[in-house]
Amino acid sequence: MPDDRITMHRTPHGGLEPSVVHGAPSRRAFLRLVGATGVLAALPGVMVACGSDDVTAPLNGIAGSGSPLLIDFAKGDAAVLQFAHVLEQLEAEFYTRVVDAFAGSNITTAEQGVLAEIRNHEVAHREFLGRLLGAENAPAATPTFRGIDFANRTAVLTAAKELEDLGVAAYNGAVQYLVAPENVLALGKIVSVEARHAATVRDLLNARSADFAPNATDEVFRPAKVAAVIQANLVDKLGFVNAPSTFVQGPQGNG
Amino acid sequence: MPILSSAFSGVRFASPDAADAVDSLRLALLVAYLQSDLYSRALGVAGFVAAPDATVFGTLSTQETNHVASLAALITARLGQVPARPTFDFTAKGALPGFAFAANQYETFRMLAQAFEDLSVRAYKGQLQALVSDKTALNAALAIHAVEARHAAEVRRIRGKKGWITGSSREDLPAFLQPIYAGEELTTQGTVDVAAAVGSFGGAEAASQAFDEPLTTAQVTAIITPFIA
Repeated sequence: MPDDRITMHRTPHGGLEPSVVHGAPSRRAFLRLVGATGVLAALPGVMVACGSDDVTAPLNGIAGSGSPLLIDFAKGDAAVLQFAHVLEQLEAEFYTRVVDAFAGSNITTAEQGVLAEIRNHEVAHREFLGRLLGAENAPAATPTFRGIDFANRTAVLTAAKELEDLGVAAYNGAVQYLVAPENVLALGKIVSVEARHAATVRDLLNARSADFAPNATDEVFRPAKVAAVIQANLVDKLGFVNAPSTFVQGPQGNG
Repeated sequence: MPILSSAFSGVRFASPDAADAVDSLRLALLVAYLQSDLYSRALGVAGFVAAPDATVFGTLSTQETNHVASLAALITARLGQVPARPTFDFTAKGALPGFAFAANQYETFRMLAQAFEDLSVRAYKGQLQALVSDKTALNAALAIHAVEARHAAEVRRIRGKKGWITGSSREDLPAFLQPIYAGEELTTQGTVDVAAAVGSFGGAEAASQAFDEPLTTAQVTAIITPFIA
């Protein structure tokens, strides 16, 4: 069964609270809608009973249908951390849904243990970055996962693999824009754990193969390239202001 | 230890704060030499690597050899002198008595692989700040750093361990390797109490696992020195 619930939301103070009931957008999304349009007429499907993101998530979970989530690189390091925070919100929400779907899924018990720990790590990353930025400086993102069957092991692990690989490339490509040494180290501490996740998920998909590390060097992606990919999983319209005009490529030159 | 003293020790590694890009790359190269040597020695003994692990260790060997070449090229491009490959002593001066890649010593080899991969992640991480003014070197270090973390996770998993480090646990590794894990137990990052922030989502255990910690040049050098003949 495709996953269909927004299960946890960041509160303004950065904590977690269970929110959405089936068939209604979160209060935050509700307010955002009002702010964006002033009316609530454009909400087809809101009253439809439980379904996938197609019918219950904010704005039906349609990527890019929400209001702008702008990251202003004139803010310097804070912009890089905000970008990482969006990524971690996406990852944490993904694994939260994975865990919440365990009861009806064909993911083995051992694998469930691994994925639940990854969920915890992504929550730790999200909460760390959110607190580091401060509530007012850490905009909440609204992830959406239309079409992913969270009860299907292969679908979940394949999506997880793509998400982890992208996360590694995203961090690798963002570090060059940081100025403060402590921020360089902070992202360095996170990215290696994302790489451990990537290899672990790849090992779950194809154990003891060469898949855990497809190249001798990982990818280094510029933020705009990452944003274009993760937009597919964000209701928000992710946008950059004062985006960096230069980018130094990594060893593979694919960024 | 003539090779160590001529190529890797001395003032160039004495002060991480003053380290320039070449110093950082030279430390990274030492770690890559250590790892590539371990794997090539193991794969050089017919039948030593268990068949189910052959693909994994073959991949590790190829990629560590690649890292040696990449790092040497980066050093050369910065007009630095590429240190010679040391002769390694994988008994660590007798801490692993009689270890010689013999048929009944396979698990000792896998333990060393885990130790060196986890060490490598921390070693590269400790050099990132020194590389911020050299973006090409920074990106290369980041790109290798993440692959070392992939390696570490895979070796840990084929040994039946989690892919990440919990607290400062060395798992079943011998006690003399504890410095590779010391300091990994942090649950506060900067001013943020991550253990409290995650709360019921794994608490202190998750908070320690979710962040890998750096090692300084001095710490890495001290850990590797016993392995240099």
